[in-house]
Amino acid sequence: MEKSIEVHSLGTQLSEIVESAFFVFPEICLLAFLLLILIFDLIFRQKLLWLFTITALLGLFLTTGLLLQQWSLTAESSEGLSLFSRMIQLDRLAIYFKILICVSAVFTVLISVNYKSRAGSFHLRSVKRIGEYYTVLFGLLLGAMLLSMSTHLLIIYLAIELISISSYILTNFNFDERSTEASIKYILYGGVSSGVMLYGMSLLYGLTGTLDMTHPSFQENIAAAPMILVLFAGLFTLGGFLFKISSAPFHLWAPDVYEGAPTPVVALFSVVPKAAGFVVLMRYTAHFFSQVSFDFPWQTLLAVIAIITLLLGNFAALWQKNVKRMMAYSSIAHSGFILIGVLSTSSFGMLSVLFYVSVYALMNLAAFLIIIMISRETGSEEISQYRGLGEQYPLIGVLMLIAMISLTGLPPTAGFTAKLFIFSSLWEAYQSSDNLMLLLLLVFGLFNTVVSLFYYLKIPYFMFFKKSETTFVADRFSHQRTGRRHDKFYLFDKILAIVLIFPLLILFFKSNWLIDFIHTIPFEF
Amino acid sequence: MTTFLFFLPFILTYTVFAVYAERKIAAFIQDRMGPMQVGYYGLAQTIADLLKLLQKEDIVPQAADRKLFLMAPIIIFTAIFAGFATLPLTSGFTGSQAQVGVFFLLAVVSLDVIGILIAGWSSNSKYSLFGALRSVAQIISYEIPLGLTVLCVVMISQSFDLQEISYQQGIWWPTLDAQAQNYLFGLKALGIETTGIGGFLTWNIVRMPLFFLVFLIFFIASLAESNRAPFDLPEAESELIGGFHTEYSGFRWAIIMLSEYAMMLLVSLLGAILFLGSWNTPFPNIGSMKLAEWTSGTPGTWIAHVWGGFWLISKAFFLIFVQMWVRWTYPRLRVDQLMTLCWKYLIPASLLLVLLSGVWRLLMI
Amino acid sequence: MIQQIIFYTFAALTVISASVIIFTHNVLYAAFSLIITFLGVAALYVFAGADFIAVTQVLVYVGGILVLMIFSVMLTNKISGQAVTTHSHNRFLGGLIGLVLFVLLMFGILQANYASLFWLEKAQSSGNIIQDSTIQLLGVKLMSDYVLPFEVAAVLLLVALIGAAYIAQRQMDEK
Repeated sequence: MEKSIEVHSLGTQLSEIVESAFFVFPEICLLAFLLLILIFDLIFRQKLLWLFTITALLGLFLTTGLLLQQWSLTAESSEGLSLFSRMIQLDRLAIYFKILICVSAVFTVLISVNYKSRAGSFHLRSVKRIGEYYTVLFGLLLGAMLLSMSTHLLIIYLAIELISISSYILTNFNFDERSTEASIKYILYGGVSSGVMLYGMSLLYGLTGTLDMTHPSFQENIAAAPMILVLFAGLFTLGGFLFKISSAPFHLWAPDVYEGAPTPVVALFSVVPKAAGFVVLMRYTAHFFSQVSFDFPWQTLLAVIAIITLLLGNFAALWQKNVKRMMAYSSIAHSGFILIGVLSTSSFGMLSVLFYVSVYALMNLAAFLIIIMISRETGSEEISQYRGLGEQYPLIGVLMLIAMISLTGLPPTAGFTAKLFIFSSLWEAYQSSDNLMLLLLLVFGLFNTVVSLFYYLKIPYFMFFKKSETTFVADRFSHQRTGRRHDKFYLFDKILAIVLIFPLLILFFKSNWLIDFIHTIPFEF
Repeated sequence: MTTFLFFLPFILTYTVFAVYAERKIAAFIQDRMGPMQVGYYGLAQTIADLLKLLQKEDIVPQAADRKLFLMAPIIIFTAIFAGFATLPLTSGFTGSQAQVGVFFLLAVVSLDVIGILIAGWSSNSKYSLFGALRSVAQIISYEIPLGLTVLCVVMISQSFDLQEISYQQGIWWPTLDAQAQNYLFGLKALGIETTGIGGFLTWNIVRMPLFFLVFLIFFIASLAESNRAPFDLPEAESELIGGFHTEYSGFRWAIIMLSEYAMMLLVSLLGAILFLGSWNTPFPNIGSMKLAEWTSGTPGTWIAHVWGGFWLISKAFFLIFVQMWVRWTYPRLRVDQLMTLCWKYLIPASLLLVLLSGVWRLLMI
Repeated sequence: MIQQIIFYTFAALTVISASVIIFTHNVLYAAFSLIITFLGVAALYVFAGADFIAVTQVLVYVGGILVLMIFSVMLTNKISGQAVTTHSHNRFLGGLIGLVLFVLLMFGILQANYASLFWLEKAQSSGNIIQDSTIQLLGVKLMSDYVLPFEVAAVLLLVALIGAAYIAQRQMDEK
């Protein structure tokens, strides 16, 4: 607790808090809908299942609307507002990420509409207690939105815990053995990394006497404190953030959780906590590492972490036979790429991070949606089951191909543009600092892109070039004979997939549309 | 230190009489005679029982976890006895001066659960284990409404300190805080000042009329906390023989019994302090009839000690009497009913009351 | 002097019971010695002038969380009919990493000289160090400076509660 007595009298402080509340309307809106769904769950238990989805979507749309309004109200050059006695900072960076989070959440909800888990225990059209799903989901979103605004270590911790606890619960929503196992592993890893982070934060508090990263005395005291402790405190705190973005050495939870959790939830996990984690990481590097007075090579440190993450993610993905596991390692590898943007610290680096995260959200959501559609068809998430699907369902095959090309980072997709930005920002950083590690990182990054080509394109390869198994073909013939087209894909899902894939192409040709938007964000922390 | 000097001997003597009283009250309610053989009207019965218990062999079952088994009764008693540390007895007898007061009491008393758990587990018997599990589930659950009701009082009194809470409920508040004023029902708007009138009009239960409901919840929760009927599932003798202390005998069993009665005394004292005016007299000053002053004495004088102790202990004994009365009136609850009562009725109700107390507090300013 | 003796007694108690947790194979003993650790930590909080936190520690951790832990250990222990024991793996590596961390942290903390930290000196010179109870200040701060964390914690607990209830209930349904 901060023991110094503030100059403000309590009265003005309270009115400041009330004023602050107006600036967190989107969060309040989200919270209100969380409670609303909870109450609906009490009233319409096991009835009117569609109502919950409608309410959730309505809540998300309303929140997004409020966020857009916030975006238009904040000036392009403003430094951002410190709210609630410097607990959170509302700036365009935060609002951008919050919009991204909400949009991803909308798609997650849409994706989950037709999802059915293997045992059938998670199926929003028939599940008995759909209310809990949306409640916990909204809890996660609230945590992510707070995290993207937070500059105070206490709020950072609470927001991360809110995300984590919601994630543990959501992981278990399949209610089969694998899902429970994943959930427990997630809790264990999460608990440890939270503990490590808290230890670091407590050291930081002990050294500075404040938990507010933006406070001038935070930086003064950091500068005055002995190096080795600052280093420990900083690294331990960093651990918690690395856990959220599933970067090495805190990536171990990802494969099991991705495999065990319901697929729509996985799509959410791969986007929302990660985006929030990156924004807090950006703030942390800006406020902590850049302020550390002694000559600590934090850029090199982050570069090493990025290299390890890239190598681990990509090479482990090569051997995966399960699509979701492969996507887990792929998302670890992508964290490595985004870390590159974070460590280049220039405003171009920030821009590339924002662009990459946005594109990454789109392509991951798309990929998971198609995985869900295919697993409904084949009843499995093994890559070997993808044989011949491309021939059978050309539309799905093509969409999957585009998603995978984009994930690899090849033209003509936005994935290529994003990687291009990231690498050019790294090149820029290398030139300005002459840090050899950064050059090494660049080499490794490019090399890993080539590696990723193998496992991403394995899926389209199986879909188009491998012949499907005979029983499957016979099945198809029988349907052709009866003249009825055997197609288990919902039209809704198809449209959704197209909606998600289309921007990936658009953003390649017209990347300046998004870039212009991002450019209005002042990268001042 | 004063706690040791006064409460330890007090608990011992009280328990002897309480056990006798319990049997006599039970007998009276069931239209029996109760113990009649030893001494006049069976008065020495408990003492005889006690002597017998002390002479008995201290048996540790072979399959028990010896160290834990021996330790458990001591933990239980220590935890409950530590709770007495913060209790004031009279206006001059304050107990611990810790600011955290009643909060400390709740925390430390919750430790007796651990003793019960150890007792139940180390006995290595199914009855003990079931008893311990039930007991723990019950105590932990009922700690929540108990804590919330205490919170209501703390919100109105703005203090954790039980002595300050006591002072607020009588005519002697101005001796502690010169500006202090009490109003009827706590409402300043009514304009009836009761600072000088005192008596039951300044008791918390009248100061904040909703406290009647709060007190009711407190009383129910405190019954459950001390494992008394109708919440005596942990030692339901028809099902579990004796619950968590089935395997205990002799002196250690006596200590467990002692803790149970000490717990009854503790919650009754706490209830009296928080709601029923603590050591303050129930008689108000009416005009020139200074009943309140006649029956309490100025703080610091010896007569104040006598009156204060008398009032507080009689209030506590009255509550203990009600506890015994309830025991022989209501049937035992089923496990699920017990939990339903706590989680679905008492906790929401006490949460609501916390809110209302906050609102009332605003009206009191 | 007496205060110091009491302090070191509690500190020793905390450390010894914590090492019992690590070295014992019996999960239940580990849980019981965790109680002592928590109580010891609560005592250390009192020495740090944080009486409210100390009592909260006892109430929440010892009276609540640990009891539930023991509860669940007891249930699994007795039902499966055999004692729940733990084994340690990678003793050498774990020990080595722990030792290195310990040495480095000790080195850093000894170097830091907490008493002469910049912000502490500043607070001391301006008389902002709180000597008596923290309750009042905590209450005011929670409702002013720290109102947002307070509310976020409320949402966090709500979500956790819903999740726990949901997971428990689902499994009951399946039976």
